[in-house]
Order: sequence, then structure tokens, then C-alpha cells
Amino acid sequence: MIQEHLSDEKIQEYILQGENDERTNLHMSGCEACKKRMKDYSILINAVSSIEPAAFTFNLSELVMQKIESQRKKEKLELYIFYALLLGGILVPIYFTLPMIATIFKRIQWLHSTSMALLITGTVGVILFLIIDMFRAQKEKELQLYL
Amino acid sequence: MIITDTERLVAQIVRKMIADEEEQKDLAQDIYLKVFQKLSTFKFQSKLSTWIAQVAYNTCCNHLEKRKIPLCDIDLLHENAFVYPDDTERETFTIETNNMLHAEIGKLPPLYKMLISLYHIEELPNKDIAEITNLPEGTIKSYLYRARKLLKESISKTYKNDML
Repeated sequence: MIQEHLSDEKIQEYILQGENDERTNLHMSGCEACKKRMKDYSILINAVSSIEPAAFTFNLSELVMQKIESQRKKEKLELYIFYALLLGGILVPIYFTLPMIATIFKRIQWLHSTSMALLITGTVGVILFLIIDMFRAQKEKELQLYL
Repeated sequence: MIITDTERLVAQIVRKMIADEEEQKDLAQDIYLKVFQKLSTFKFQSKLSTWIAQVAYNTCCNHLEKRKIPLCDIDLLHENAFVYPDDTERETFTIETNNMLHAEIGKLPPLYKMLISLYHIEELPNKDIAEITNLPEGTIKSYLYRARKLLKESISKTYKNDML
């Protein structure tokens, strides 16, 4: 028989796992103190297991749907603001460089008009791609922070 | 559908880890918002409910961290290092009301409260709890032992006169 009292861990194991080693069983059969502690733990574990599961006191589905709806509206607004800023970012420099455009064209008039169109489209395309990519990366980061 | 199926598990986590009801409301909404936004990234490597519980647990942990509320009070654990009282003389304790038990569970650190609920009320295996909390199974076991011990001692202390 184990002379020392069983630890709390051992007693809990004794209740939860059912099967135990010979020494523990032997000690338990002869030690009143450990038997009482085991009974205490049994009562506690049974009582905790019979507790009604916690439930929310509000209608979660409804609240979540409302939140999703407002989030969608917010995202739409953010997107509009983003496109407005993007448009502004393109149009404002064009507006200010307009007087200089004639001079610029004169300097690069050796370029064919098709090449010119390609150059402009390419540049604008790359800028747009970079901005959209930055925006996406930002959104992804925000989401990562969430989880 | 997802909400109805997993609400009970999420409620166990949120209600046990967060005391304030308004905060519970906000967090529960945030949890499902994140779930819907991230649903496409779910890889079916675990059960959907476990994954949602994981989102709920992480959201609650972040919230507690912001509020500087410790998940698991270390001092409390040291205070309760193994003591074997000679209790052969006293009667075995009884747990008379559910309210009393709720009150005593409420005094435990947030992590312990949640672990007790998931293990004993939701009857989740240690493996699932470990996945939700991202803690090793051994740590979960040991936290559960300590949580039960704290609970037993706390009930014995508080209701000494009535029950012992």
C-alpha cells in the first residue's frame, strides 16, 4: 500500500479514467482520507457535468446578419472612396501637366503614335496594378490580424 | 445554418472567457464576421466547429490581452501547490445549488473556466480542446487538474460553515 496520500491529480485520474494501477487501488481501499477526497471530486465532477450549457441571451443570427450587412455597406463605401482617390490621383496630375504635354509630345515625336499609345497604356496599367495589389495586400493583412 | 450549429460551442467559450454581456455580444458578432470572411480559407483539416471555436478562442484571447486581463493567473496556481489536508474527520461536501457552482466557476481564471466547460459540459476530447486553444494535450490535462482542484478548494473555503 502507498503510505503517502494520493495527489489530487491521481485522485482525479482515478475517477475519470476508471482503471488504475494496483498500488493506487490498494491505497484507496485502505485510506479513509483519500476516499473522502475522491468522493468530493466525484460530487464536483458530476455537478459540473450536469450544468446546463451556457447560451447567449440575444438572437445571434439576427445580430450577425445585421453586422454583415453594415460591414458590406462599409466596404462598398471604402471601395468608392478608393476609386475616387485613384481617379483623382490620375486626373489631377494630368490636369496640371496638360500645358506641358505639347512640349513633351514635341520632344518624343520621333515615337510612332501606336508606340506612344502602348507606352501610356502600359504605364497607367502598371500603376493601376500596383495600387490594386497594395490595396489587396492591406486587406489580407487586416484579415490576418483578425484571426 | 453555420451559426445555429456552432452557437452553443461559441457561447461556451465566449461566456466563460468574457464576463461583460455587452462585450460578449460584440465579440460573438465579430467571431462570425471573421468566420464568414475567412470561410474560403478553411482547409477541412479539422471539423468546421473546431475551426470556428478556434476563431472564437483567439478573438477572446486578443480581447483579454487588450484589456490586460490574464488568461490564467499564475500567482493563483502557486498558491494552490499541492497541499493534502487531513480531512478524515469531516463529512464529504455537497453541492446544493447550480447557482453556487456557477458562482464558484465564475471565480476561476478565464482559461480554466473555458476548459472546464469544454471538457465537462461540451464533452470535447482533450485532442479537440488542444486544437482549439493551440496548447499541447498535456498542458490541457494539467490545466484541467488544477482547475478542478481550485474549484474544489474554493467551494470548500466559501461554503465551509454550511457544508463541512
